Amino acid sequence: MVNVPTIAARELRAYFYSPLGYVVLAVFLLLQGIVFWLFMSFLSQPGAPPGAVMQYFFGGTILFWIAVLGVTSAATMRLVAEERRSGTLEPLLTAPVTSSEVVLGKYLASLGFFVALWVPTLLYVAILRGYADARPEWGPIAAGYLGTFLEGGAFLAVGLLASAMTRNQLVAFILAFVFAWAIMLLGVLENLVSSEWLKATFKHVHLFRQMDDFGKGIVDTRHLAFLVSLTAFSLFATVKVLDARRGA
Amino acid sequence: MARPRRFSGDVNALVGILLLAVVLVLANYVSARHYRRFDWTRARVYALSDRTIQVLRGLRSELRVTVVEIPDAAVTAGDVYGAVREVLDRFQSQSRMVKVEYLDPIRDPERAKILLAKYRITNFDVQTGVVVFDNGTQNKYVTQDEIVEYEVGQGGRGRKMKAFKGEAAFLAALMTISEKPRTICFVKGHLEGDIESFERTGYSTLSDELRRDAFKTKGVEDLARAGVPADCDALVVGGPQRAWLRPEVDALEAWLARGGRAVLLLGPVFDWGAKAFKRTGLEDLVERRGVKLGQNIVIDPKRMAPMGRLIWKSDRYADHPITARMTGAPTSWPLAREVRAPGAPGLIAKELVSTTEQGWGESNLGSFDSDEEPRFDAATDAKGPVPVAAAVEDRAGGARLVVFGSSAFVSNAILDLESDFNRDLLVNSVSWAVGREQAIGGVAPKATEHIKLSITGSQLWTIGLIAVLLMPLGAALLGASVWWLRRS
Repeated sequence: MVNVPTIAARELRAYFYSPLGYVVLAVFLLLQGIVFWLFMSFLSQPGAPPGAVMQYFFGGTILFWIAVLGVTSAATMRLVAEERRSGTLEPLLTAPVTSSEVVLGKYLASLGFFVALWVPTLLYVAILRGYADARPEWGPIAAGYLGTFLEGGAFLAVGLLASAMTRNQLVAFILAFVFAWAIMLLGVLENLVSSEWLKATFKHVHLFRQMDDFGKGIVDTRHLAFLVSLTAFSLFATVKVLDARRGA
Repeated sequence: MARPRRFSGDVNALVGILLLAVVLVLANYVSARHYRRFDWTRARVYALSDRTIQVLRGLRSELRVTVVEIPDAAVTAGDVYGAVREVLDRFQSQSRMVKVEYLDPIRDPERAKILLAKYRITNFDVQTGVVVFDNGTQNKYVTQDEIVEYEVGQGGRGRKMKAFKGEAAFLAALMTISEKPRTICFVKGHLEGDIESFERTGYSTLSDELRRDAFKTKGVEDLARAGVPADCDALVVGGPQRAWLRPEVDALEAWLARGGRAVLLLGPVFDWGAKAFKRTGLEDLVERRGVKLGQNIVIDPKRMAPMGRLIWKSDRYADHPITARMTGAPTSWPLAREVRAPGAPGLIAKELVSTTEQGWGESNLGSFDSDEEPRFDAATDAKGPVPVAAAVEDRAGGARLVVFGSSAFVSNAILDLESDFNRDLLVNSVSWAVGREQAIGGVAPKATEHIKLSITGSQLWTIGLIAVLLMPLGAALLGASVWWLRRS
């Protein structure tokens, strides 16, 4: 695993040296800014329902999910697919680095980029503290960021797997987006089945509900188990896909 | 040889992926059965109390909980169902005996119909949703009013959830159905309100409400000869219109002396033209137990109900187990007399409900027989706040007695209106009388975090400018600078 930091640093630099990284950041902040502003204006109405702004901010609208899915798919689409297209993957895989190191390095870089996207949103918390009568609680806000980190991390791993399956960036983006949506929609099936264990299964993977919990300040070990499992599975599958290419 | 080696590599990869998938599915299965929900809120809004956890861990038989929800009601009520779901999720995390089901009557009307009939859920209650607890032998349902404390928005607009009392209400329901059913006996024979009667003055609705709280109800008569039946856990005397005979009063007295429990609805019985009410024979009995009935009609012009001057509302309750969970829950008082609780040696007496300072006890009974408007007379009338209900406890002897100055406040005519909390007050009184305090309260309501934003139009524009324009623009400019620097 000695090569992981080197690979991660190289990939992370690539994000911030490329204009695309900033385009993603700008679009991401635009979407999040709209969501935040909408909630601020809605919750400042006299007849607004109870609840904290950041509770709704994390997963409260479809824009949140579009932003998370969009940036995770965009952040991972080129990681392996571009190397395959440009022919740099084979030299990388024949170098004295393992597939696990390559995958983990690239994954950590994408995770670093994802975290960097969210850092500016801390400014929203500062704005909120300036305008609310009561100081917003840090616990639910921290839980909201934790949930976003874990769900984003899972989608990045799925995106990396999609990127390893094709040599076309656009195809990788679409695959990642479709995979992530499919996983998200699994939870919605909870209300459409009558079998008890199927209901329980779909409830367990219900990402909307998981994010709702995190937003309220609830950290459930079941959510942690599922998100870590999804991440681990996707990364492992990516390693196996690369191993298969190495053997080809 | 390359092809077979690649094939075997692919198979190995596939087997590896499948094995990991199996391991992860198993790990998630275990995590779903043994999980923790950490509460990161400052006030531990979502955490269960130790008492609830203790009760849940002690469950030995299956508890089926059915949440009958109405989507529209959920929207108007705020996130009530989110909070209900959360509490029940935590119930399940503490005991695998708890099975929860969510039912939408619009999507599944047939099942809803069966459920409503089985649990005798009224159409009124189901409109805002109910949560049914069933342990196989007894059941009870909890309404939205029992789990939410609302506050009205500025200018009377909109209702906001001020506090969520779900845990307390669910715990009460659970404990109610866990105990052996208690029998409440309604005394007959003096033209009391009848639990079989559907007339406006009857008590059939009250009987239904008590059964909903896992009480059994039945009528009893001839106390003088047979005494109070052994299976009666409490007696209710619902507004006698004829006087009790001395032996009957003695039987009741003897029963109370042995630690009996009773709820007496002793509303005024008019004796037209006379200066006092008709005597029911129970006046002296209650006086010996520290409660004094007034010879007046209590009115409160400040809280007059639209139905007439003899009906007023109150939400002024004493600090007592009976009224512990009735904050902000008004009750209606039709034709009520004053009920003072001066107390007596060895007895703990408490006045439960009273008028505002503007209310009084009108002692000129003739004024109600004419068009004359009652007016407060400091010389003869009881000055507000005037109490209309009292509870007395004999800690040494074990007797408990609740006396109400109105018999009509739980009649069908009032309970069928379903707009006030008279039902809760009476059911709480019966629960306290039989020693089922845990069914009334004990777990404090959880205040919901409601951050009030004070933002003017111009401030909102400033926030919009920063969040929607400046921050994305800053990111774009940063990108352009990096691109320009690297190019040069």
